[in-house]
Amino acid sequence: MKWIDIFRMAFGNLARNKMRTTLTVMGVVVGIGAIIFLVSLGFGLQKLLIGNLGNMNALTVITVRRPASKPENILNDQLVNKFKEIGDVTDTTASIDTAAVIKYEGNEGSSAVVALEPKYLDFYDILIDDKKTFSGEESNEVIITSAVAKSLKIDDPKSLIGKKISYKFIGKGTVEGANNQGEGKELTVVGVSTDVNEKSAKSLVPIKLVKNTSETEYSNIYVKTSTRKQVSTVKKTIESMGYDAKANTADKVTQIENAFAIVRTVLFGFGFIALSVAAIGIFNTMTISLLERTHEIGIMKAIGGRDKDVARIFTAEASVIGLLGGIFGVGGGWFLGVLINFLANILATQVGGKASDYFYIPLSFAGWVVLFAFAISTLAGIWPARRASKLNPLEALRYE
Amino acid sequence: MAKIPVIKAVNLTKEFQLGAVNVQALKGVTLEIYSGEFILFFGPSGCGKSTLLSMLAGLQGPSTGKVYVRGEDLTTMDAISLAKHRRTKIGMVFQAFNLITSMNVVENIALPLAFDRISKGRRMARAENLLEVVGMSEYKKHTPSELSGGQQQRIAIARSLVANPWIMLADEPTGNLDSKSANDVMRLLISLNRKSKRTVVLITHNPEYLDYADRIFYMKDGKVVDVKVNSKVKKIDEVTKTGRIREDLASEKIEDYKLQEKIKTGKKDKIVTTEEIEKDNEDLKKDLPEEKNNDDLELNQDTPDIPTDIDKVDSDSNSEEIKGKSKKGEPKGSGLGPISMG
Repeated sequence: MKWIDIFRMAFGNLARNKMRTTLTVMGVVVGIGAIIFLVSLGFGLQKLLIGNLGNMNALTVITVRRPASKPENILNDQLVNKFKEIGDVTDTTASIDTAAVIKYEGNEGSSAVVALEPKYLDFYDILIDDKKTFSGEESNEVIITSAVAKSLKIDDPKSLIGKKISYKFIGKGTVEGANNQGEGKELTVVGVSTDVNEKSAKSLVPIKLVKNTSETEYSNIYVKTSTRKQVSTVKKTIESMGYDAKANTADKVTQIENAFAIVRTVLFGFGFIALSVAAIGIFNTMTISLLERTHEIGIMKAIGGRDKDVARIFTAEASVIGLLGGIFGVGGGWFLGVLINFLANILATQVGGKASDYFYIPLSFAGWVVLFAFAISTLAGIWPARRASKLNPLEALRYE
Repeated sequence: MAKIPVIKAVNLTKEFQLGAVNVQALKGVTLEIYSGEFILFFGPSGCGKSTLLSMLAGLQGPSTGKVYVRGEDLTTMDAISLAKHRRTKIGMVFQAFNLITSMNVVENIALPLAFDRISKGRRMARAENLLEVVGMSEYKKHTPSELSGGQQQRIAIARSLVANPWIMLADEPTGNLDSKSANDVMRLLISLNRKSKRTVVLITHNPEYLDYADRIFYMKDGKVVDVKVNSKVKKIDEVTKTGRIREDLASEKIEDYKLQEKIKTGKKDKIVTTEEIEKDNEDLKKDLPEEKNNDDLELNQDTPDIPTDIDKVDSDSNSEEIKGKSKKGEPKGSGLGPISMG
């Protein structure tokens, strides 16, 4: 028998008993809905947490440092060029860590300085209020953290935007040509980092203000890959070249993901219990259906239906129940998530919180769950179907 | 008639346990049935005739003995071959009609072809042709429960013909019918035998039918106790002599009326000719899975075809077309008239 005919018959038989079919499908809908609802909560919370870690760009950045055990392996432009040649590396940048004595309206303070290329800001988790980048590679501009303002005895860091602060660079990073004598350089504040995790006084300045020859040694080189998957292999390559390589954000995210994988499994387990009940429901429905249709099975066999055909018709019915239940269950679970999310956000915004998405279903996961429902239902239908197919045709014909 | 039997049973026995009692349903039945014969199994209830017929159908196997249908041993066949035997080699008609109540009439008729992976379009076309043959075209979307017993049995006969089998097995097909419907059904079965040379094996309780059979196997207590050869088989011609004219006139009037209705409603008069059906059968053979046709040559000569609409045959019994179809082989029945009972 052709599959299309088998499914046609299966649909016909299910449509004949609408009430029973609906109830059985509802069982699967509840099971699958529970799985989707719970697991999408797991996915949503994970996404929320990772989203708070920083921007997604940071996930593909590897930070390279000179290893303490090999002080001769310095970081310079030649090395940057070498890194650029590694496969999967899409971009690189570098920074020099130093420090400065700063002055503003007679108040003196100090700040760590990170001298960097403007594109660093795209690389990293730097959140700036007003401006995303410097106006030029050598512009006399600075981005500060709140702590810098504090060291200058200014309460509102944003009031410093547009003001000039005098920077006198000190320390090892400024070896050559740095403006480390006499009066400091006047730098205009273009932005304040809003990174709440950054408690230290830190100033970001264009790298050319500190570095002026190609021989200058960098403190850090940043290597970017196109996707997260490539981070670990590129990291290994750099380590094999004799440098320290760290992918902090990526590693943190991996840890969070691992933790949430466990949470999701537990949530899936609860949903699975509901689905098991639904599978028993399918089994029950198919067994009753078998008893009701014993005579019909006898007829089909008497007029030349093979055991295989009878078994397939029955199995197909169970499969269709699973498929319908899977599709409606995913829809139902998703809808419930949207509803709860909506209500939660109403509550959150009323108490002054931020609206967020607590539920998230990757499309592939939804697809797998539908397939899962299909598979479980088919399994639940196999035994009744086998029993149906093994009926003695003569006895089945006599059965009323 | 062919000399090689189409059906051959050798020393069949059947025993089964009914609670603590060991029942011997068949006690050594041996018989041979030839191509184109009309055979009756006649005997009291419980004589084993249904058991015997179900063995010929491949619905159950004997305890001992052999069943050959067209040279193939059913007792050694696996389940798949037996299913194919039931699907393509024989047409089975039951007392209880055994239509699937959830399907409509055409779907029921077409179902065996679905098992043979024939496309829906082909199946339905074939089923609708057969509906016309049994005179039930206007009921194609009805479900069996909306039909009378006689109508259901005609549908069941159409279903048994769908794969164009050579052998018809009928287990008391008129047992649940009133005499008028029983007449219709018997007429249909006889015409399948007379006109298209199908071998028909019929179980009956009704002694009125004995005269139409070529041979009657009298059964009792699981044995064939007597075989009677009907030297003078009632041919349809003879049968129809009494009361024929009136019936014919009546049916002609109906045909006239139908024709006028069709003209009125502008519907095209669809009459299935035997050529069309023969072509249909040829096409179907191509669709059906390849079968080894190692049957005796004589069998191949009398290619069966589907009888045309019985009423139509009735009124057209003198037409050259029908005569041409029915002149091959014995017995020569031309048209088909009503069977007068008792």
